[in-house]
Formats: sequence, C-alpha cells, structure tokens
Amino acid sequence: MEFKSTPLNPEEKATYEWQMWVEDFGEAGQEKLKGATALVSRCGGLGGPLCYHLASAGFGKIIIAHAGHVKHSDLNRQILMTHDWLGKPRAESAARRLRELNPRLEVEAVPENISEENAADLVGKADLVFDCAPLFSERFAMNRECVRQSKPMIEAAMFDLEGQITTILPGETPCLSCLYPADPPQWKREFPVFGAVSSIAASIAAMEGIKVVSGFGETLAGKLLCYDARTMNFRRVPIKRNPECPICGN
Amino acid sequence: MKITIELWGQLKQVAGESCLSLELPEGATVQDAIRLLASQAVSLASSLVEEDGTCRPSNLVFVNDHQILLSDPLQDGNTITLMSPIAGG
Repeated sequence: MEFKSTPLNPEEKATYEWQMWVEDFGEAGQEKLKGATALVSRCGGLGGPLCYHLASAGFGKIIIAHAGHVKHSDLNRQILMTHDWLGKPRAESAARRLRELNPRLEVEAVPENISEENAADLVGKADLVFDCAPLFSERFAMNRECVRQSKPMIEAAMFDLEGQITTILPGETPCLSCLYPADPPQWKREFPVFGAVSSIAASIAAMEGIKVVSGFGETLAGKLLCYDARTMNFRRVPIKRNPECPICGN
Repeated sequence: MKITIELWGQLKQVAGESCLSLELPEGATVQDAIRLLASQAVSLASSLVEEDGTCRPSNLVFVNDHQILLSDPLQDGNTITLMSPIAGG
C-alpha cells in the first residue's frame, strides 16, 4: 500500500525533528504522515488518546466519528473531553483539544457513530482507519468497508484490564469477520475500564498506524497482540484468514 | 490427559478465575474440551456453547499460542487459550 508524501515546512521540520531521528523513519516517513488522512471511530477512552498521538505525530488530517454529548462518566478515560465541555458534543470537544495540540492538523468532526449508512462515505475519505468503537455492529460495518475499499484498519479493543490489537490489511491478513464470524451475543455496551488500560491499546494502535503509513518496522499484520494489565502479561499470537469468511474469503 | 485452560476477557470475569485444569481421555479434541468445560463450569456454558451444544464461533481459540480448528486433537499438557470477543473503546 502506497501513501502520498507531502513536503514539510520549516516549522514542521523543527516540530518533528526528534522523531525524524528514528532509524528507517526520517523525513520521508514524516512526509507520508503529513499526507495521510485517518478515520477514528470513536474518540473515547481508546480513540481519544489514539487521536492525540496521531495529532502529535503529525498526521495531516483526522476524521473523528463520535455521536453524543460529554457526560461525567466519560471523564475517567476520555482524555479529549473536559469538565467544562459537559453536555456539549463529544466530537467537537475532541476536535478542539486536537487543534490546541497541533494547529496544523486538519480535523473533521462528525457527530455520528459509524453505521451501515455512513461507513462507505467515511471510510472512502480516509487512507487508513482506526477501529475503537464499543459495539461490534460499528466494527463490522467499518471492517466490511475497509475490505471492500482495500483500506488498512487498525483494530484495537479493550475490556477490564485487557486489550487486543491487530492490523488488518485487506487481502493479506485476517479481517475482523475472520476472527468473529457473528455479532457476539455476550458483549455488553458498558464495560469496566481504566483510562490507563485503554491508553495502552491506543498507543500501540497509533504506532501501528504510523508504521503502516510510513512503511517501516514490523506491524501486527496477521498477529494479535493481547495484554493483561493485571499481570502485565503481553502475548503475540499468529492469526489466520478464514477462507470461508463472508467478507474477505474466497 | 491433563489440559490447562486459560481464560481471557469476559470468560475470565464470568468464571472468576483465569486458569483451570481438565482431565480428558486420549484422543479428545479441542471441541471436546470446551464442551466438558461448559458442563463443569455452568456459569460459562452460555458463553462457550450454543443451545444445540456446538461451540460458539465468536470465541478465539488457541492451543499453545497457535490458532487451531475445533476438531484438532489435543495432547497431554496442552494449554488451550479461550478469548471472548472484546470491543471496549
């Protein structure tokens, strides 16, 4: 997968100087990040810190899809939401915080969650997608569109003190439906969560996106990284495509 | 033969523990182990098997960190890892 490069101006070169020292990344990698548009669904406990890392790393544009208004119960983990923004739209709160961090960043705040109706359009605007949604229906809608449009999707999820991350490259790796062929009936919308645990998944997912776009390092393509913050056990297991997968199979 | 079961996600929460042991006859498959677990740990049953007794396809199953088929045979000392699907964000 090829991503377009956009030349850096002097201010950007100064801002990203330290990360451009990373071997195999350099100015060429930074120019790829500047040329990239990421779709993030949603920007809560996982998507929020993920957006922050993408913004600080120098992605050119982030599209945030997240419905609803900021509530008290968001504030233990959704670090792009602030107390003074209670009752106001989440997507706008997140966009405001990201622009404060990086005024060069283009942010499109979409006050909707991903659905069957909007997935094709939103995925079509992005070069890669970060899946941070709390419902499998949203995740499956994005997965289907990413496969159809051949867009990479970084899949990140957490529950309690555990997290899982994999990088989906359509046609090369298992897609989400290979892993979970049906909507899991036991998954509940509300779940135990510390912000620090979702931020671990967010940081790893952001780094995956940086590597996919700039083309360096080894990604989690075809591998599932699982961690348990209760024991600090990290495991990386190979995962297989399902030839019978209704979304990406033969 | 003795098999170790590791539970992740909601399965661990429902069971109240992350590691269990099972005794199975020689030649038993992964599917046999999951069904036996569902019969011994009643709280896990609905998360592991459908009403007709087939294993739920939504759980990820690994043996010694390799993704396997439910019909694969087990060996003494194997560790089965069962991960329930998670989507927290």
